[in-house]
Formats: sequence, structure tokens, C-alpha cells
Amino acid sequence: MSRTSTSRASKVAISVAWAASLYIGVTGAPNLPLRVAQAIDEGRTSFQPPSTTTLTPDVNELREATGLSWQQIADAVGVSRRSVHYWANGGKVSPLHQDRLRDVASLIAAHRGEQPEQVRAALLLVGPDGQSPLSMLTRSHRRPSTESVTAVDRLLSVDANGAASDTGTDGRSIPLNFSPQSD
Amino acid sequence: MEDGHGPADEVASVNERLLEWRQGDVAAAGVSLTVARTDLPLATLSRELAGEQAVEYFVAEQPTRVVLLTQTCDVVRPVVVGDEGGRFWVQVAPVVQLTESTAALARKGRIPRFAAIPGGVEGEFADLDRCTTLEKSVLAEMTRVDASPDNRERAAFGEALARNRGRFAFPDDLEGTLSPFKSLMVKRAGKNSCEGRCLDAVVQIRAEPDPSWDDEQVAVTVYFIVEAGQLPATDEEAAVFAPVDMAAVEAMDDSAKIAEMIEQSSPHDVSRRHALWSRLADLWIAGCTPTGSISYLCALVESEADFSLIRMRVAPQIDFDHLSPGDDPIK
Repeated sequence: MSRTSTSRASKVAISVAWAASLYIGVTGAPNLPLRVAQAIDEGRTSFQPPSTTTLTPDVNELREATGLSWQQIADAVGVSRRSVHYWANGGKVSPLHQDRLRDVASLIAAHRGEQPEQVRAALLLVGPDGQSPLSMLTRSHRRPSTESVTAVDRLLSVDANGAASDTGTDGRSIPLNFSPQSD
Repeated sequence: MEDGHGPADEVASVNERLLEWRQGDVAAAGVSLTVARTDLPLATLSRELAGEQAVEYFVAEQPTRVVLLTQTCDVVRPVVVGDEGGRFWVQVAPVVQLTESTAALARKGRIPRFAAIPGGVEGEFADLDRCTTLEKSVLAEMTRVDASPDNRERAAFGEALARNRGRFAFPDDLEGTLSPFKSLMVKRAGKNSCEGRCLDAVVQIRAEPDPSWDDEQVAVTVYFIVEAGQLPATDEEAAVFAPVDMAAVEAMDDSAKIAEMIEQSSPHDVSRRHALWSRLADLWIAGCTPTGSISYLCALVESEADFSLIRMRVAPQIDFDHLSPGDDPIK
């Protein structure tokens, strides 16, 4: 238990030092969420709500440091490439998406000093479980809602026989009798 | 029965007449039926008729034009005499005339209760809350109105039917949070103004939870998905465009003025159009205060050319049903 705690503490310390260099507008002590790493460590699939930190991830520097394409960053953050371009040009990033950018920054914290192509290769390296670090992050933003076309399919595919009823057409109201039918 | 005039021949005649019917067709003289309780009638028609009844339940019948809801393949599938597993039924919905603002939202698919009739008259929709099942022989006797040959309109009608049954049930807290925004949309939709036209250019509005709708604290991204062309295409490498004074855009708080600037801006000015659209979306939800499990709300503008199936699956479409209980959306 103590070894695990020490290991995690070291990882966080390294992550903070390296990933902080990717941020601009630092007004206080870095407070990187590391939501994904923590969630994975703890076997969770959900993360914390957006933090209120004033740190602003710099998308351009993130791209330069990782060698990732705009599209790969967009996928990791769960937005379109167009939105990442907008941020790269100074557009406002919501706290929610700042957190997601921090998640990407957290992923590369262990690769300090490496060339962008090395960082990129590490992020895209597929592990024994068939997942790369980047794809795990991307997948975390892709969990579908319970809205599903299958619900409609199920409704439409049921060919159930309706209950018997009395209907008529000679008038504006028709009395009904719902008493059980006798065989 | 086998002399050429028996039920088999009549059924064959029904099958033949049904061949011309397609989903979305309108019957000039149809009927809408509703089962009601005599001691607790709810709708106006039911209340008017309840007094005449001496039984527990009755059917309120309303002669009206109706729209055929059943999928075309099932409509034309022949009825076979004696086939108890056969498909004898079709479903229809009454044609209703909506108020202008409701029609503007319904045309964009934002009110799942109403589906735009293919080739229908302006403001006329199918009221999907009041579906009636008919035997095919009843439909065969109805007069079919010449329908739109436009397959896109027919496809949109089919999508509206699917959405009516399949739409996602958002948490009540989100409905409460977005209530001011929805009221704003109803007021401004369909108006011949810059902002009204910008609203018309929004193809869909979707909401994505983080982490999920079931969590105690949910951060929500509201996606305004605009028509392709509203946001110019971007190249993978050419990410840096003409500089925009983002601070000046962020300081603007007049949505009508921003909408006007969007209309006046060059369709090729990538950064500026995106900044203006983003600010407009921010202002549209500015009146919303996160309540209950909704801890945070933000807006993001995307182009329909970019919005992926992945994102569609995680971000259900927002609808505008149940906005104003006191207002009748039907004329």
C-alpha cells in the first residue's frame, strides 16, 4: 500500500513540473487535475467536473510538444478540429475543455525532454489491451448516452397483436366495453 | 364467396388501392380517435362528449385530415384473408395548423410532437401525440391528396417519426437549467431578423454530459450545430488565420448586433465568423443558471460538416416540447 502511494506521488510531482511548462497565464501554484490517470488507477470511468483553476492550456504548444495533429488533439478533447483551430487562434476555451486539454498535457508529463515525434509515438503506442494512451483518453469522451435508435427499432419491429376493441364510425363518440373476453 | 364478389376480391381491391399510398401521404377525410374516461375527460373534445356517456370509457371521434405514419413497405404489404398473423393495420395522425413560432421550431425538428408533412401547406404538421390505428380497408376508402414527390421531405418526415419515439429523456435538472434559453428560442425563432436567420441556420442543438447524466455533478456542453458554410472549412495544417480581437468580441453583449455582424462578415473569414458565432451561442445560454445536478454549462459551435457520429451518440438532441403549459401551440 505504501509503495503504491509513493509511486503515485512521484508520478504526480513529475507530471506537475513538466506539464506546467505547457501552460500560460500561471497565477498560482499549478493544480493539474490528472483526472484520467487517477480514474484509471482507481478503476473508475468517470472524472471530476471542471476545475476552476486559472491555468490556460496553450493548444499550439501542446501540439508542438506532442507532434500530434490538430485532428488527434481534437479527438482527444472530444471536439472538432475546427474548434481546436479556434482555440489556437485565441478563442475562449471553456473550463470543461480546459480540463480535457489538461488531461492531454498530463499524458505527456512522463516524456519530458523527448522529441515531439518520440512523444507522439509513445502516445500512440498500442499496449497489450489494444489501447494506446491517447485512444484511452479519446474513448473516455465517447461514452454514448442511452438515446439509441435501437429503442425505436425495437418498438417498430414488434409485431404484437393488439387487444380487441369495439370501434365504430357512425357518430362522434363510441362507448367501449373493456370487460374481459370469454373464450 | 368464390364468385368474384366475395371478401377475397374486396381484399384484393384494398391491396390494389393501397399500392398508391406512401408514408407521409394525407387523406382528405379521415378520422382521429381517442379513448377517454367518462369520469375524467382531459382534452376539450373529450370533455364535450363525456356528458353523453353512460359507460366508463368512450372513444372521442374527430373527423379531420390525417397523415399516414406507417412505413410505406408495411402499407403496401398485401393483406391476406385468413392470415391471422397478417399486417392489417396502419397508423395515422391528425393534421394540425401550428402557430407561427411553434411552426418555426417544428420545421427544424425541435418539437418532436409535430412532424412536418411532406409537401404540406405552410404551418401544417402531423400531431404525433394523437395517433390512430386503422384497418387497411378503412384507409383504402379514403381519398389520397397529391403528395410531395420530394424524397428529402419524406426522409425528414420519417426521421421526425423516429425522433418522436426515440428521443432522449434528459434529467429534469437540465430541463430547468435550459428553460430560459428555450423560452428565448421560442420568442426569436422564425423571425425575419438577423438573429432569427442565425437561429434558422442552427441545424441541431445537442447537449453532452461530462461525465454522464447519471452523475451527481454534470458539466454540460451545448452544441450549436450550424449549416455547412456558416463556418468556413479549415485545413489540417493551416490553423492560423487572420487575427481577431477576441477580447472585443467577448465584450459584446448584444446578440442582435452580433447576428448582424455574422451576416455581414465574409464567409471566408474563418476566425472572425467562428468568434462571432461562439459569442452568439454564449449569449443565447447566458440566462441559464445551472441547477441541481447540472454544475456547469458551456456552449460550443460546430459545423454540420464536422459533427461526427461519435459526438452525436454522446450528445442527444435537445427538444423544445413542454415549454409553456398555458400556451396552445395549435391554432
